[in-house]
Formats: sequence, C-alpha cells, structure tokens
Amino acid sequence: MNRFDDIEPRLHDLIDGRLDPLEERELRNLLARDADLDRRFRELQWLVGNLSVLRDDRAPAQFAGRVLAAIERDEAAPVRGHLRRLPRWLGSLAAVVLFSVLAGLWVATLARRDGSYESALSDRAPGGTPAPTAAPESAAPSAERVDGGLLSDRSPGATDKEDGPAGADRDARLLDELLRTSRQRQLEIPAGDAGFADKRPAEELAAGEIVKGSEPEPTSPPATATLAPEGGVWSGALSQELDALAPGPPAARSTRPADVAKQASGPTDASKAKAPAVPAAAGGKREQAAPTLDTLVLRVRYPSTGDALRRFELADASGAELAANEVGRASSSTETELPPALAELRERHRGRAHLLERDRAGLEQLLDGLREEGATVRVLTATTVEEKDAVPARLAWIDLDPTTLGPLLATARLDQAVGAPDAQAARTKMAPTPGYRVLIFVEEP
Amino acid sequence: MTESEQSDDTLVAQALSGDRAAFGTLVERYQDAVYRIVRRTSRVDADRAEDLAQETFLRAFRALARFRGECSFASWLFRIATNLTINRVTTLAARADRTTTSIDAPSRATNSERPMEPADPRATSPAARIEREEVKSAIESALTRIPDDYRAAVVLRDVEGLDYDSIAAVLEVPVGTVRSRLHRGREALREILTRMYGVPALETGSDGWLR
Repeated sequence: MNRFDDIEPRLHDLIDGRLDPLEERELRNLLARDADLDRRFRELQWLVGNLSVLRDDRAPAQFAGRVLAAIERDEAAPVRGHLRRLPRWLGSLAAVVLFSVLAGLWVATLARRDGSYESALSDRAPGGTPAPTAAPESAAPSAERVDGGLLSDRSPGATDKEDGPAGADRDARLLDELLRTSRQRQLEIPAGDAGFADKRPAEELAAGEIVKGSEPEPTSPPATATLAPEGGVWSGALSQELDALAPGPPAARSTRPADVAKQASGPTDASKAKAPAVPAAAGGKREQAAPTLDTLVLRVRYPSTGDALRRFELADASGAELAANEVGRASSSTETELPPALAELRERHRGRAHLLERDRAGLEQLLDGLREEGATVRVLTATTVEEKDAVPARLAWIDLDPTTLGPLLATARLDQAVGAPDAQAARTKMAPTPGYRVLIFVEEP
Repeated sequence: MTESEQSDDTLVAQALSGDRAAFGTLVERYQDAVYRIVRRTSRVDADRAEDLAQETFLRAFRALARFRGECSFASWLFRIATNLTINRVTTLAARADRTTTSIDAPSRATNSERPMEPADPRATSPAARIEREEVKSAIESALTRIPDDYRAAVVLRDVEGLDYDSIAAVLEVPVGTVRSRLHRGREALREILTRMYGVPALETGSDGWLR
C-alpha cells in the first residue's frame, strides 16, 4: 500500500477547501515535514490550477443565433412538432397494442394450423389408420399398454359430460394426438441434445434398453428424424411415455363414476393452479388452448410426485408417507447414512462407484451402469417440479427444461429424498423453473 | 432589469410562455460552459462539439416544460449535455470499432482544429501565450487518456467550477462517488503529466503558473 493512500484524499480536500481549519493546519504541518508529500501536493495544485486553461474554450460566434434558428426549424416541422407534443405514454400504448395484435395473429395462426391437423386426422381415418371417431376405445389399450397396465381405471365405455361418449373420446384422442405431435415438435432437437443428458448417438442406444414394455404407438404420426418409432431411443421412448402417461384424455383421465363427477365439476384446485387457461382443452373449445403446448402439458401433470405415484398406484403406504414427509428430504447426505439399498448397490458396483457419487454422474452414465448390472430402468411418469416433492427409494429423478427437454439438473439420485445433498438442494432452489420431473424406476435384479 | 440580469428561473418561465428571446438569453449564458463540457467530456473535435452543444440546447428547449426546478437550471442543462455526450460517444466508439481508420488521420486527442481565443489576461506576452498553449495542449492530451467518468468529474469541477453537490446532480451519482472520481481523475492526470512532461510543479512560479 502506498504510504500516500490514506492521506491523498485529504490533499484533494485541501485543494478544494473542504478541510476545517484544524485539519488544514495538521495537514500543512505534515506537508512541511514530508518533502515527497509536499511535492505531490504541489503537482496536484499545479494541475488543478492549470486545468482552468481549458476555460479558454468558447462557443463559436453566433452560436446562440444558430441554436434559436435550429429551434425555429424544429418547431416549423409540422409532423415532428406534433409528434413531440404527444404524451410519451402514447408510444408505449402503441407498442402494447401492436404487440397484442401480433400475438393475436400468432395465436390465430397456430389455432388454424391445429384445426387443419384435426381435419387431416379425420380425412386420414378411413385409409387404414384407426379412425378417430370410429374406434373410441382404441386409445385406451394404447395408454394401458404404454403405462404397463398401471392405468387400469379407465373403462372403454367412459362418458364425457359435454359431448357424450363419442365426443369425449374424440376430443380425448385429438388432445392426445395434439400432445403427441407437440411433444414430437419439442423433441426435434439435435440428436446430441435429445432426451436427458445423453449425448450418445441414438444408434448406440439399443431398442428397449431403457423403457421396458414400451411399444410403438400404432396411432402415432410418422416419426421425426430424431424420434425412433420403434422405441428404445431416449427421445422416442420418453416421448411415448410422456404422451401416454400424460393424464389428459384418454390416457389418464379417470372414468370412474366418482372421478367423472369430479371432472364434470371442473378441474381440481391443483390443476387450476397449474394451468388456468386450459379448461377449454377438455371440452369442445380446444382450438383456443391447443396452440399453447406448455399449458396443455402442465395441465395434465400432477401437482406433486406423491400425487403422481398414488395416481399410478405406485406409492404404497410408506411411499406415500415418504412423499409427504418433510423430514425425509432433509436426510443427511453423508455416506454412512445412505439408504441401505444404495449402499448395497454401491457395494455391488465397486467398479462403478463413481457413477453413484453425488454430483458426479450424468443420468445416462448412471443408467448405463445400472443396466449393465441387469437393472431395469423405466420411465414412469413426469410431473411438474416441486421442491417439496420427495421420491421413494429406488427412484431416480431428473428435472427437464420444459422447452428443450434438456436436463435442468444433470444429476440423478437414488436417494430416498429429493435434494438430500446440500449442494443439490441449493441448486434446486436456484432453479425453480417449472419443468417436468421424470421419475425413473429402477428395478434391481 | 435587463434580460441578461434576470435569474434562470425567470428566464425559464418566460421561455415557457413563448418568449424565444428569454431562451436565447439562457443559451448565451451557458453556451460556453455547455460547449466546453461536451467538448472535454466527449473528446470530439470542435465542429462536432458545436453540434452536440446545439443539440443540447435544442433538447433542453423541447424538455423545458418538464424542468421542475428540483435542481438549478444549470445543473439540469449540464445533465442533458453530459447524457447526450456519453450516449453519443458510446455510439461513436461502437462505430469506430467497426471501421478502420488511417494511421495518418489526425488524432481526436489533439483538439487543435480550431484556434482558441486567448482568455487569460496574464498571458499577454508571446512567450507566455506559447507556454500557456503548451500547458493547455498537454492537459488536453492527458484528459483524453483518463476514463470518461473521471474526466467528466474533473471537467465539471476544475474547469467549470461546480461544487460537489452540483456535480452529483449533473452526473446523477452520490457525492461520495463524485469525490472519488474527482480524486482518481486528478491523480491519473498528475501521473500522466508527470510521466510525459516531467514535474511541472517545480517549474512554476509561486502562483502555480508556468513561467
């Protein structure tokens, strides 16, 4: 540190006359004793004194006259003058109106496009593809097949409050188609970024490797380049699972009498909270909601992992309890307190211990290791991200970005509780972006 | 009382009621200061400084109805000038980054396109004038080498003579910031001048002027 650093500001204050007499006297005494400081002070004094030479600068002659002439010209310009007199907020208002008009046009365009797609589906029905209105029960087997029989509560003869059985099934199927195609559009991302954090080429992932029991949808539209219609590729399997497991019609909308009555009374509180703009999608006004993919998807997600598990009848009493157990998510992250299942897994996978280290393994690495050991990995469902969610043992999870489906948090957990590691918990808090929480069930051999 | 003796507030009120002459008086009153501020804080040449100064008054005239008297008219006017200058300099700097310039082109830092009118009555002899021009040239050159924030504070304080509070109002920063910018700016100038031109203080007379 320069020995003048603390005294320097006082030199400037002395020059500017900002010291009181006592301070000034002390400083001048100091200057008298310290030649270097005195020299510095004199240099500053010289500088400040001579900066005033710049006051020699003068505005050019007739400057004021030119300014007044410019003002005259400015005032004489009729359009500019009038525009300038308008309140400033008018500009903002115009921008808002313009934006609204453009947004309306955009929404209308999307709605028209979806209407065209709906027409195309209807037109395509007689040509071999199951007709949307001719086979109302065709969607139910699809959903049941993809969810592995978990959605057993849907009956083919389900009724819909608004349109009757045929109308409800048609709407349900159309919404399902919409979800599927929208999902595919979302999944049309480079293969390197497709699905989770898996950067491997799609060809390297064997069919059926990840999703057990998932089969291609007979009613699926032609797959895109990044979507393998035969399943097995992350993006394809994920897409099918997401589509099938989305509990919107027909896959997950309950048709039990009690649930039908509940649906007839409108969305649940949770679904209202998630997507207030969507009710039209359940009835005949789907054109209004159809363009907003995220809203549709969020609507059909579950309010919490616990709800999702219960919905799929996966949460037994202990699981359900865990899902609601706040203490569980605060479990320690130290290794000695890891769940016995994880410790056991680690023991059996000594060669792959790094895969199970916290914050070190990408999901795909972890799953690779698990599959090599014979574990069966299934995507169970997806739900919205909720920090309070707890995940039962043997469930890994990953949060996905809602638009790219890329991982928000590129880690997988086999812990009993979400966010058990402190660092992870902090990151979760820092990334509260609504997304999809994909639950992955790991069945150990 | 002539117009030139009227207060700024009175002239502003008259200008707002449509009296162009009143605004002309304000222009004459502050034209030199505005011109110096835009020229010294922006490092532009004299012609461009004149344009900027003219635009400053034009903007002030347009915005006169919004002048609430929360600070002095001078501070308000200087704020327009510095904001305009900073914005313009930023734009020019961005353009300059995208264009190539001849190495033979005159440096903006010289600022010697237009001869300055001698103002100091002490610089009467030719030798004194030459020395004074040399000092001025050196200071101008050094000023162009310090950061914009520091330069604005130095110009407003040591050239225009504004107090700290007024500078804070013009630059819209706290007084403490003004103080630190001013001190650092002066130190930077002192170092540059000392390094480039020796130790001028030792060559000055007792009144601080070069002999």
